[in-house]
Amino acid sequence: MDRRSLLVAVVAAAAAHGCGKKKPAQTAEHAPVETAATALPVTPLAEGARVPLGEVIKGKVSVVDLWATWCEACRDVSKNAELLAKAYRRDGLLVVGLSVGEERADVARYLEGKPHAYPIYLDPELHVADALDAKELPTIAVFDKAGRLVAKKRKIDAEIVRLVERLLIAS
Amino acid sequence: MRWLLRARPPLDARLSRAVAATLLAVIGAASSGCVIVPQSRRGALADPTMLPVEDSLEAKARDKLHTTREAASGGNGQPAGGGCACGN
Amino acid sequence: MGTSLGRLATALAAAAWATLGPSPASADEAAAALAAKKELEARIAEEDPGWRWEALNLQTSFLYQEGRGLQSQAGPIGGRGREDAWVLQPWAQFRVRQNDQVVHELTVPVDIVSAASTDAVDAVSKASEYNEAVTLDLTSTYSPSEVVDMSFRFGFHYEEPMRSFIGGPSLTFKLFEENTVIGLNMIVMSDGFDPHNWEGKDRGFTARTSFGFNASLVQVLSETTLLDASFGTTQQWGTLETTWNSMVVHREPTEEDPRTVVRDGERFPRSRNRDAFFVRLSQHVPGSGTTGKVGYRFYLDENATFAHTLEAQLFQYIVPWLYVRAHGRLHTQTSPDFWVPFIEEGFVESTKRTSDSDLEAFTSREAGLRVVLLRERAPLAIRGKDSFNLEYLRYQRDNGLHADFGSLGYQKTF
Repeated sequence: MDRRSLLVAVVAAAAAHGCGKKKPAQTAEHAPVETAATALPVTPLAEGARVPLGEVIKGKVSVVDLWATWCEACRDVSKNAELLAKAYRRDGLLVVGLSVGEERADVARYLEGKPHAYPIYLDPELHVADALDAKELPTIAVFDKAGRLVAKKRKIDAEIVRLVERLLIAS
Repeated sequence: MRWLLRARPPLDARLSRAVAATLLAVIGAASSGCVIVPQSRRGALADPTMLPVEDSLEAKARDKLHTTREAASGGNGQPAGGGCACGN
Repeated sequence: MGTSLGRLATALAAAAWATLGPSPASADEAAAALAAKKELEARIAEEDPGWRWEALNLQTSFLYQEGRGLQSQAGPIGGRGREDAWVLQPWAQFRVRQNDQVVHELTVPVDIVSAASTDAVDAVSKASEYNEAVTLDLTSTYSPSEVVDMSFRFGFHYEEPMRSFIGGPSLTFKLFEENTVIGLNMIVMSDGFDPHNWEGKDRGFTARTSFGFNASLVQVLSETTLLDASFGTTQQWGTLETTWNSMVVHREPTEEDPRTVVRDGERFPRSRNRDAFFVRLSQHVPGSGTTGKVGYRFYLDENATFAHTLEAQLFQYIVPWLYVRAHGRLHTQTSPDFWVPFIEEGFVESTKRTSDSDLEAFTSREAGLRVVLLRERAPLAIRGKDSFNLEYLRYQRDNGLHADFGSLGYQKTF
């Protein structure tokens, strides 16, 4: 192997080594876990001061929909979140839309003319998203009444609906 | 491809070295990108202005403008006129 | 067993909850909740909605070029003749999704071209003044996982006097949480046509075939930086000359024929290998609505043609729903080793020769402006799920050719 080939091989090996990070394991799958995310502040899209996420969801079975205006896959999930909110609101479910990584003006412009059945909060610096290890959007995080993380998924499916019903029955 | 390997005059050799050096720089730059950017932080990269192909029809039309007027087109694995306006 | 019991318990609890649960605040509210629940269940149960339109892209462009080249007969004897031409290109692209894993993209470019190089027939009768060409180009992509896309491209091209088939597979790997995308594609193209000599004589059916291989890389370097690069090689075999081609021949006058300048056909090699390498860096500047891109392409082929191409693009949002793109391109190429401005009579018929101005050594410059209106981000009064674009560019070569290109485009997502 000549010097140039060796150099290419070394660089390629370094690239492969550096890139080979493993995805962290899912943090919650139906077993309630404490998370630091609820202590972190979020900003209401409507006027109001920053408030910890834990305050927003306090005492309620909650589904938090982490989304962004640029995320096409989020639109379908947000539509399901909207229906979930309408279907289970009277049973005490709280659905929260958490816009990730974007400024208020961009989110407000996107939502203009799109009435939504649940409150929208902002996490512009992705502090909450990072604490929830939500590396991909959309992410759905389900919290029990005690504010503990119960499930985290990429979509609202039958399993999430059943889980929400179970949590509402238990509460 | 075989022209990259064949012995060539000094100018060609210098250009080949430049290509090899650029390739190495690309691999090096790519390897530095191993600080993985999670999808949730790729909002800026999803903007239409940052897409590698902003508008595929516009790209094809501009490509056609060049491939039918410049011999040195093609070589990218796609059909190209190389100035002959024949699409091949 | 345990799971079945668990499901039963859940079902019983759900039934009890439905019966004994909190009474509705109002009948309307209950009806709305029930309707929402049914709609949600229906959406969840609908595993795959099947065939549906995804996107439509329409574009019409017009190009007008003025130029002079040694290949054209529309000029002084032995000098550069006119290569004026216009091209009207109405193009359409449709994307249809078959299911969650399969998507098809059909591109239909139509070209209506005035005679690009005025030839013998045009000079006297304008018989081939306009040329229409139409292509059907279908790419079907199967995505068995989030990591791999497999595509196959098939196309058919019709143009008097030529028919072409094109086809080939491609593979895309999305690695490291899609921070690295590697693409590999192969393509084969075969043309069958009747080459006409410079006097318009049909020399019978002939063919040429191309094989291309391309490897590409898109690499995320940061939250705002992207690098893309590609290497491609193309091998061609067969009749590579352009139909109607001719070049100037200098000769000694004789008593029977006093002409000192006549014409004869060009002669190309029977095969041609060409390679190209391309790299581009894209940078978005957060908060400013600005994006910059700089790209470089290096080309070489076995006939000693080298080329360097530098392209820069600057995007600027004027408002969040409208941006402007300015671009500049500089291209310089050497000629193949068989390019000559004329040839002396007495040459061997098999001598490789061309005086095509497209193959000449030249530098070209290009500058353009494009405006894109994204209605999806527009104020409510003009909002929609589509976008419009308008473009103008000027292309200029230093061997006597320039072109003006304008286009109007429309894109819609469903």
